[in-house]
Amino acid sequence: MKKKICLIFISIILLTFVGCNQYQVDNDTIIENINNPFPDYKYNQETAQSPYGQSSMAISEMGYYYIIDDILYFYNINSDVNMPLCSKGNCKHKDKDCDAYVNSINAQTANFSCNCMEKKLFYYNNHLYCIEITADRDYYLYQYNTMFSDKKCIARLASVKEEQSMVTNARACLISNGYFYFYTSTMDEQYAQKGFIADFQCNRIRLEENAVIEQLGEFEFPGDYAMKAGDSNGLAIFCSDENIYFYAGGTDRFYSKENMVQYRVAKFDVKSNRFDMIWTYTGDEKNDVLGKDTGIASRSGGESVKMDSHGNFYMFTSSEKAKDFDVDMIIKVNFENDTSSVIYKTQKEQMYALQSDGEKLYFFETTSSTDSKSWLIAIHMDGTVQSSFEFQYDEEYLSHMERIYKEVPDSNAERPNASNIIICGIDDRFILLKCPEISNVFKGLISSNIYKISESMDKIAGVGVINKSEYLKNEETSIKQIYQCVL
Amino acid sequence: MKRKILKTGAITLALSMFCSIGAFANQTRNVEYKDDPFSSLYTDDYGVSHYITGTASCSATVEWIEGYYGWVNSANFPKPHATIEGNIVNFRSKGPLTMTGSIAYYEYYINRENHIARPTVGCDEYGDTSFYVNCW
Repeated sequence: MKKKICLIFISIILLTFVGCNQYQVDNDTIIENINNPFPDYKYNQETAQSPYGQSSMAISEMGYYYIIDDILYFYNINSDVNMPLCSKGNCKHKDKDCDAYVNSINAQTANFSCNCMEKKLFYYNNHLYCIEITADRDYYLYQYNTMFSDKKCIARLASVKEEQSMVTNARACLISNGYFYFYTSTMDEQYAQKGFIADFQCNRIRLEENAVIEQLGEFEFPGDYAMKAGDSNGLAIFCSDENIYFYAGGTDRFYSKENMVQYRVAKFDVKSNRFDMIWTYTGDEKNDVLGKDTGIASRSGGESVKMDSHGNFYMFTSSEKAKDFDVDMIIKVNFENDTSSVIYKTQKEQMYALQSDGEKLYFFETTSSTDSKSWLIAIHMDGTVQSSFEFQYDEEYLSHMERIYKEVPDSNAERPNASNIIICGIDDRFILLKCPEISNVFKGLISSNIYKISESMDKIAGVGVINKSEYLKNEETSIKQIYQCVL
Repeated sequence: MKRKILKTGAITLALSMFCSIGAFANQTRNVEYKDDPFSSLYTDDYGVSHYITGTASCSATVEWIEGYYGWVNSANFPKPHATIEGNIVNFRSKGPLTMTGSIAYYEYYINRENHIARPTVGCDEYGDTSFYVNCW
């Protein structure tokens, strides 16, 4: 009897050790090369910076850094482990007590102080980088180690108090060949009286200690394509064909009704150090502004625009046949050569979430009905389709909707399509997808319980990856879920 | 004595089964949010404050199984009313009415532009509902 009690006691202690610290991270190393699913993969840190368009993840040799509900996660591809970057025992990884907590500007309380502006992270030369804003609105570029610790200040990028200058749009920053490229904008008391027009500076700084900011050029542009602080305001920075492109665009201003459509495109030649404005537009005309038959570019803000590796820009536009602001075309524009063309027209209803890896474009195509469908499409830069992946709905959700239609026969409720799914980023290994609670219906991206909601109804339901190679070869593939919200 | 204990046990078992079946029964109710105010004070990057204020309504039928699941069976979202900086906002229907396992929402265009307002209603596993409007 005593032996039995001892055995039970020892088992309980052992089980306790197994059960706790589910997310405890080894401070020294991330588990490496347990099972490398991509033995031929060669990491290129320049193309890993998403130079052809904005991305919501930072790509390292070992995997992806990305954010779920204010917590920084790392997905280790080799070990197939997805975990928050927090080494605290018994941490619930939900709030600012967590080592992996990241926050951004709170426009509703006018609190700019944050540790990761616009929750945008970069990975370069074995370090993480992000912009921190102080309570006085000084903007600092900080460097961390791969575990998001060992914090080190690289440089002050701007200061509202001392220079009347701020960093604008952390997502419109780019690291390229050892430089950090970024926009600043000048604070002006007369900003509203001047019709919400501001001065924007195009800058870069070398990623080394005691580096000095170089201002490469500047232009005037509306500041009210963003509704509030921290929103995207139409800016983007790209690297294509070894040049840096500073892009600003928009068609719907929030607070002014004058000159609603404006574009600025500048090129910085890194070899000659020459900065040239290569295209500008200011006006109210929305149709065919970017060229004959290019339609209305209602999604031409920098966050939605992509490039290839030859200096060409790509964006969604709406033809005359499109309903309201639905986009049904992809156009290709070369601002230097003043050429444009329609390269793709959808046969479905709508398109969303344009992405580029420099060689192909990726986006969602959707139909909208009680039988909504969504596809992830990959096309070549000439518009020919390479691959198509149809999103599958969760069976429990489908049964739930069948019940709804039986109980409410005249219901016109539809299934969510993929329009709210976020493509965090693409490299040669995976396409990383994040799905918010508002679209908690897809296999591979679903929460633990489709009937439960969080208090705020804005959590991430699930995160998954699609094997890019299998997808592009049109082999049978599915979304592999790497994170599931437990509700 | 033994018979009494067995009898009591059987009655208790029967009663608890009856109660648990009752606890798993679906419950439904109609909810209405009438002219619920929503307002947001936003500061932009340049420190200028902007005011979006308005009201939105929703009528819905929700259903739940106590402690387990909650969902929306049907919902209607009339056009909201709002002002931005004191200027009346025109909302135009975008749709569609969309449902997941637990929420329903609808989308409107703001001011004939490609900005969106999305009223959303959800029901949790205790029959408690929440309603809010998101704009971007």
